[in-house]
Amino acid sequence: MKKRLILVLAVLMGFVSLGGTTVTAQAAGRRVLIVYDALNPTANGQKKLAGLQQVLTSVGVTTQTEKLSDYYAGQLTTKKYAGVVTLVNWPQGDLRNAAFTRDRQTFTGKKLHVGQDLSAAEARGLHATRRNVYHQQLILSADKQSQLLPFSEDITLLKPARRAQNFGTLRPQNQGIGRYPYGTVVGQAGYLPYFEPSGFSQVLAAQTIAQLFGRQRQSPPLLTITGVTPYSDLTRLTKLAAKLNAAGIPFAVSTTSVADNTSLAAFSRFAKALRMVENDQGIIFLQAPVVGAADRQSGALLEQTMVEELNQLGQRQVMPVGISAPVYWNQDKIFRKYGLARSSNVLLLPNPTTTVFAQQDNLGGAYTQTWMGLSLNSLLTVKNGQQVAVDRLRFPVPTALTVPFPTSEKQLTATLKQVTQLGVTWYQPQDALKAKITSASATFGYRQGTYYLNGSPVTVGTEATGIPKYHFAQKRHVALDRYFKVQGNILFVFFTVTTVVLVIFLFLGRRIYRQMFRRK
Amino acid sequence: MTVDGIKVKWLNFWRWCARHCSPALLATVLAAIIAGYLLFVPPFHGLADNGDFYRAQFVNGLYRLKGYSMLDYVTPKLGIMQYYNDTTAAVFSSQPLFVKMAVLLNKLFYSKTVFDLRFMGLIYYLPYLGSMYLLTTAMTAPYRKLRSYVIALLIVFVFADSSFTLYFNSFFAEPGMLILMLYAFSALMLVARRPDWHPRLLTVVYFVSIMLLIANKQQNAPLALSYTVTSIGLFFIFKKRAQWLWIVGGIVGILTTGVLTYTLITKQFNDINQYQAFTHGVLLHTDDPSKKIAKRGVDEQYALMRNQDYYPKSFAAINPSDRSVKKGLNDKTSFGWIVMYYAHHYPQFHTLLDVAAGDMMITQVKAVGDYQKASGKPAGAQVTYFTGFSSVAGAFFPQKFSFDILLTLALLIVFLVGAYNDLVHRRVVNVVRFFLVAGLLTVFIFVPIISIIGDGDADLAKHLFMVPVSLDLILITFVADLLNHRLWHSDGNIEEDNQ
Repeated sequence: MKKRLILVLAVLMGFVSLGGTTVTAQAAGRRVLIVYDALNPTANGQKKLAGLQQVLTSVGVTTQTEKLSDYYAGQLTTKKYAGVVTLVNWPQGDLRNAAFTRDRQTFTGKKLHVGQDLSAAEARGLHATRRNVYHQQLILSADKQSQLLPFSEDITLLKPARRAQNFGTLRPQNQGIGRYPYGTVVGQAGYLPYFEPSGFSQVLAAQTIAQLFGRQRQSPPLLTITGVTPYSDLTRLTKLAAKLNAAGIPFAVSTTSVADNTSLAAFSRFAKALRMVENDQGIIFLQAPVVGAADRQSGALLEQTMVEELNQLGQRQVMPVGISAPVYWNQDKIFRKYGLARSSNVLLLPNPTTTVFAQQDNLGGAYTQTWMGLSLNSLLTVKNGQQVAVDRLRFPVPTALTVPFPTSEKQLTATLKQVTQLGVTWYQPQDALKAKITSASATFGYRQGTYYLNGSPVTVGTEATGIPKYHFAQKRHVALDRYFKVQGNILFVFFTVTTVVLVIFLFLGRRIYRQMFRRK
Repeated sequence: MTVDGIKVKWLNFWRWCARHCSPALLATVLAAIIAGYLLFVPPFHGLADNGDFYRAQFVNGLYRLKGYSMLDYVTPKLGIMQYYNDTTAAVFSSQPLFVKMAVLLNKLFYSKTVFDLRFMGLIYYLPYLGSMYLLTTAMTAPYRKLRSYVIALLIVFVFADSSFTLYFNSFFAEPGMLILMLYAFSALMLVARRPDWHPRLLTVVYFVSIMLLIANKQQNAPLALSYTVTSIGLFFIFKKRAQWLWIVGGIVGILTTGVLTYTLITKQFNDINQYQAFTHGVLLHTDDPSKKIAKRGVDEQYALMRNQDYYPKSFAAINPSDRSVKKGLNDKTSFGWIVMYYAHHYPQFHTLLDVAAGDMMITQVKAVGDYQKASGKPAGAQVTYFTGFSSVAGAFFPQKFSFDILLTLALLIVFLVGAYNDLVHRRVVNVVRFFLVAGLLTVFIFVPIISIIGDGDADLAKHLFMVPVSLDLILITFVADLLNHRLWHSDGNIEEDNQ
């Protein structure tokens, strides 16, 4: 009986690992190469690059990012790549790499150009003619929704071509110039004249990219509260959850956790608040920790941290359904392997101002379901006439609309008011989400609104069940410690006795001395 | 040759030696050899970067070359900036004086582009030898007896310990503190013991050393009070009113330096210290602190920050410099808050003081390596060469703060008796010595308390640096004066004694 069980398990394991390897082999085999000219921080170049990496990962493709000057001849034509994305951040720099221009020309895979400096050859590939527009403020619109873009210096627009699929239109405020398509896809080639890693631009760019790389996956957006930590105001968190639940809005919370000090009452309180979130139809993404310092040796420590965080939460029936992390985590070998890859659902959020890598390899991984984190705030200026039109947007990839955790009661009220008034049909995790996270020997699952731990369903109550009792008086055991303690006590006693004796002797001695001179 | 013949020859030899080599010279030469080998003979040793070196490097126009090692290994070479350096000092300190001199020497004698760490060592090494000479003179003069040489050897054993001299080849501020303290101590003792030997110059040396010492590091600011106590003795040496004015001027100078050093601590430093005083102090050595801090008005969730550093060494749930932490934690846990917290939780404070008492004699910085990478030693390896004193003192000094208090009382009584006897006989030496020792004992007692309240147990061993230095000086004074029969009366004479 036992043997048979083992056999079944072994077969199952085999299937799982086989499935895993095929996915990775496929993914690793055919990456999309992102080539950028420069980071150009003054024009938010890093953010644009990160935004592109985020969209591509959400579409489900694996990427490799290369700086234009680092590109070597023949790299594209080795058939290693399924596609190439050219990102021009710094047109004024006029950076060129002849080998890349040549290889790109002969490359037969999918090609996307983002930003200015579209060459004549590229335009020919798109069957269109270029038109340069200078110093304009443009309105981006699709269907009946529109958003005013920031003032742009120069932009290269395309005259609409036949056989082209267009996503959104760009219309300069100056009416005389006319309308031009925003995202263009012609067969294997695509073009985005402008890219902003937020707002309507990111939504339409995601549509373009999803179309070009053939992976449209329309779904309603998931409302996600970000920036929760164990140090947040937990009363406010539970209040927010209760109010959202009462309004019938399913949501997710992206929170960091701690790996140490989990025996303290403060941690139980944190876990309790998260259980209340779960009971209010909220799901939880465990947010990757802030990186203070890391290097190639940080893998084991990250693994330990993540496992400890997951297990300590899991023990208290807080079952994360996915891992959330800044986009740059997906560009790091260590962070990917020990942080993200353990989860089937990964939520990618915009990068913080400083990014600390452990082993940056610029190879973006893909996951079963990657959520594109997009700030809700950036979409509030998408209007249909005078109306906020977030409810009418179509999201081509799994999208998490992020709302920062309110820092005051006033903000809480404002956030609730804003979210409830939008009228968006939100993603229902209870119906649609399937999730799995592995944490050392434990597996966390989520299907149709039920949480699973190692395959068996878990009931989430208000109080945690099955937690071992902790004894707080933790004693540190150091070699010879006791010896030193005893020795300290002995010396203490010794000195006390000596002092007392000394004082007595002083007193006696003084008397004897005086008596020597006293007349008898 | 008869036994008497050997005896006479030996005596003659001994007299010849004593005539040509004073105890002070012996101590200096020995220290020069012992420390020189450690610091300058390749592959030379030092202390690796603990993460704070950038403050001393960038401000002084140095930058890190490729392969710079943190924590594990000493990096022997740095680059010298060839362009305009726009970094401004993060902290007010007298340390850049030393580093700038080292860079200057390096430029003159070695290279204009590459900095050899040994020049840093050299800048400390030379004045250090001078201080050893002065200290031994102060402890042994005017004798050249066998016991004088024993005292000299003891001074070498204590102050040439590698745990002290390793600091020279590093960008820590501690070596400056050690040397300045040795100068100040010896100068004051010499003024008292040999009033005919450059008293004014030595007084100036004393005051300047103390002021530079206080300005060397922000944590030294409170020491201004201790050194005010040590300076009181000068009033007994100089009797004229006009001279008193100068001494008062010096003391005011010390206090001003202390206040300046304190007020010029930057906001960022305050935040760091305040944060770590909470996470590495208030939250430690207690059972669950959640409710305790909640009772005193801080969100109990911050208990989860126990043992966290302001700059996380790896991963953290939140960045401690985040605005929400500042609002929820730093703005609430001021110095006063922490004092009040400990007042309400005294047993916890006592445990923390015992931790400090256990750490104070461990002078070797165990957190960073002492070797260069090329030496082939494992990362973070520690030098054991000539660390006899520090390892014995570190292992056997009792780990009880109550013991420290008792020891302080005992020492105070002993030195007070000496001072009383001198006062009765209208002599000044032991009175000066009493105030000097009393001042150093306040360092011994109050620095641990201030460190715990100010920064918890974070970097404790380094914050306590002045404690072992002070205690070692008292110890040497005690032994030397006992041997020279000067402990109870300053006119003790050993000339009549047999050797």
